[in-house]
Amino acid sequence: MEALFSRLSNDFVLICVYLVLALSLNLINGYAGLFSLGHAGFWAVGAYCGSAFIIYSHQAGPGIPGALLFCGGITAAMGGAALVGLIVGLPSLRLQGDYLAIASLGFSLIVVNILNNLAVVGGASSFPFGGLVWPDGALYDLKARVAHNLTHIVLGVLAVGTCTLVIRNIRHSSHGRAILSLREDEVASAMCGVNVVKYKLLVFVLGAAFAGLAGVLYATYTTRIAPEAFNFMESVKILLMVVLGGLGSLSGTFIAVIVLYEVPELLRMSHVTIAGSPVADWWVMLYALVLVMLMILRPQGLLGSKELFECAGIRRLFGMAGRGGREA
Amino acid sequence: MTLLSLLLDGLALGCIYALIALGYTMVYGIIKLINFAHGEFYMIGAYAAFIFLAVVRTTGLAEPYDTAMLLLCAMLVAGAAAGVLAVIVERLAYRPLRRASRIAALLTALGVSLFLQNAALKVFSQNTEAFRKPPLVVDRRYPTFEINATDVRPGAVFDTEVFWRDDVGSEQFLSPAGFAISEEEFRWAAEHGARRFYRYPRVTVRRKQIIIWTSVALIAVGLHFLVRHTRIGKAMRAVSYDFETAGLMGINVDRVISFTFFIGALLAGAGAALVGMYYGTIKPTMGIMPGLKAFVAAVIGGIGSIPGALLGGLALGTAESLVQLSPITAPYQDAFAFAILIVILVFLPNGFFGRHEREKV
Repeated sequence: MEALFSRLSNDFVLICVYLVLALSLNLINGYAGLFSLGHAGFWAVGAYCGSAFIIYSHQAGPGIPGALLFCGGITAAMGGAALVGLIVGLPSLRLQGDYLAIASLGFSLIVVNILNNLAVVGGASSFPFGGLVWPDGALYDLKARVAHNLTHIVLGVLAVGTCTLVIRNIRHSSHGRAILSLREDEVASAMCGVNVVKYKLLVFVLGAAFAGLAGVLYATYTTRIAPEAFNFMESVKILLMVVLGGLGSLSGTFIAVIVLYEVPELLRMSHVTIAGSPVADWWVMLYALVLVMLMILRPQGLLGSKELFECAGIRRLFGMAGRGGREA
Repeated sequence: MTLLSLLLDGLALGCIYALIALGYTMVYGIIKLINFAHGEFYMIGAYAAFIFLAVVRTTGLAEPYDTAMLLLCAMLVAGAAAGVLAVIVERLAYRPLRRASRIAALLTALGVSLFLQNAALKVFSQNTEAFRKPPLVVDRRYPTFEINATDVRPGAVFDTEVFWRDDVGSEQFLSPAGFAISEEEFRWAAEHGARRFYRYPRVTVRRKQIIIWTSVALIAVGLHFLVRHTRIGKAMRAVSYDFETAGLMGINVDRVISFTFFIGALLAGAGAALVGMYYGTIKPTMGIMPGLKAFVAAVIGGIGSIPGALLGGLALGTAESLVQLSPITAPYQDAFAFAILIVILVFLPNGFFGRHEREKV
């Protein structure tokens, strides 16, 4: 029972983390059409800023309550990541398409390289919270573990909810229409009076801040972060989640994140072997194949830029009236 | 390590970057695709060369041959394997996407890269393979050129490979490129090749470095001839100039693109054989970093430009070796290379030799 709970809550929290990451990447990539390959970089910055704030302020004043520390950590993580997002956003003003992708990829590699050599945050080895989260053998205390998991489930739901709401509301505001117009045609939207500089930076800052939020959530949940966890592969994974769900579709992102997270987990549990090695070992190859096939067969992703309830088939299934399709 | 030995090393590394960058730049010049899988073609080339040398060694075929001949054969085998793989990948994954958006093509390239990498992890072991064991570099007939006999560092030198003890006095052995090697490897080399021991090692232009410089120079000349003075070269230039018009002029565009992929991967494979010889080890993930770095080199030179890729590679290799000069900056070698990338992209998006293209609305 305890094992089942810990497995389910683990999956739930990590899915929440990936959801926040994928939703924020969808804002950058799907809505604004800015092709970023370095989302794990923002994630790493958030995780490390948040952890550093929490650990060092705990050292400075051991009496500060945990909730306050965590709020401070969130602020530090989102602030730090947003600042970095602003810096990365600046090249995006001059770069387009695949050039921007390469620049952002370079950025995430720089982040990992620097973190690997930064002694204040533990360098290449992990940066643990240690006694802060698990004081005096609390790691083996069932109640403390359950409380830890439950807290993070609530925090995860809150984070995903906030992220979805903010992005959805932006999408349906005049700002959102401006951002969408950037994706369609930058020059034309500039001619129509859209402030291209402002919106590109806004999208990067906001996306990075949410990635930072995911970072701090991930850090306090796992209580141990290492630069290895934020490598290039993670950026690709997040991107695949967004692309599979459909660039510009929030509900598609939800489906894709859950599928792409749960399938390898279930495969790992299944103990099936192919050609002598566990099936989970083949997953990354399958992953890559899915990406290639998807690009060839359905480059717009499962849902395209529609939301789930805008698809005609789904509407019919639930007996809703009217035609599917996005509003003007 | 001293400035001079670092520069020599950087120049050799730069030559390899240049070889890989050529493939990037040629493919980009023709179909405007950043071929992420290029680093994996390079990795497959290295394994082809490794298998070739292992087979030659175990069957005893190597005995009558010259080492230089063997290396040349290894380069050809590696290049052919990488080239054939590239043609297959182009046919299966990239051709269906020729008219799709560039982002879709880029993601496909990323997927192909991941696929090949993990396939290699499955097929070959995750371990690094010792490239040195095949009889490649143990040939002592040619002397190396010693430049500076006053570079003081305790240890041992012998004339095909240089090893020295870490000067802190720990039992760590470093290969000339600064990579740590095990004591057994050191012993093995000492048993098989060590002839002379010096109290003080010196900066040497090693035979391996000369091999790399001359092969890359020859390849560059050959490529120039191919692109400038042959029919297929003319077709390649035409396709890169205008895809559709070239088709209308009777050029078989698909074949030209396949050929470009083949040549690009051939160069990367040949480079991989040279790297195996130079560093002595290969592994399935070896393609990632050189692939990305070579892309940086292609961007520095101006992506799409062949002389640009060569000079960009040399510049990047040298610059990276200079970063290693100080122990404070040495760990940030990668960050430095990618910072150069971002700076170049922002301030000089066409690189130093790229064509300036005016964007039409």
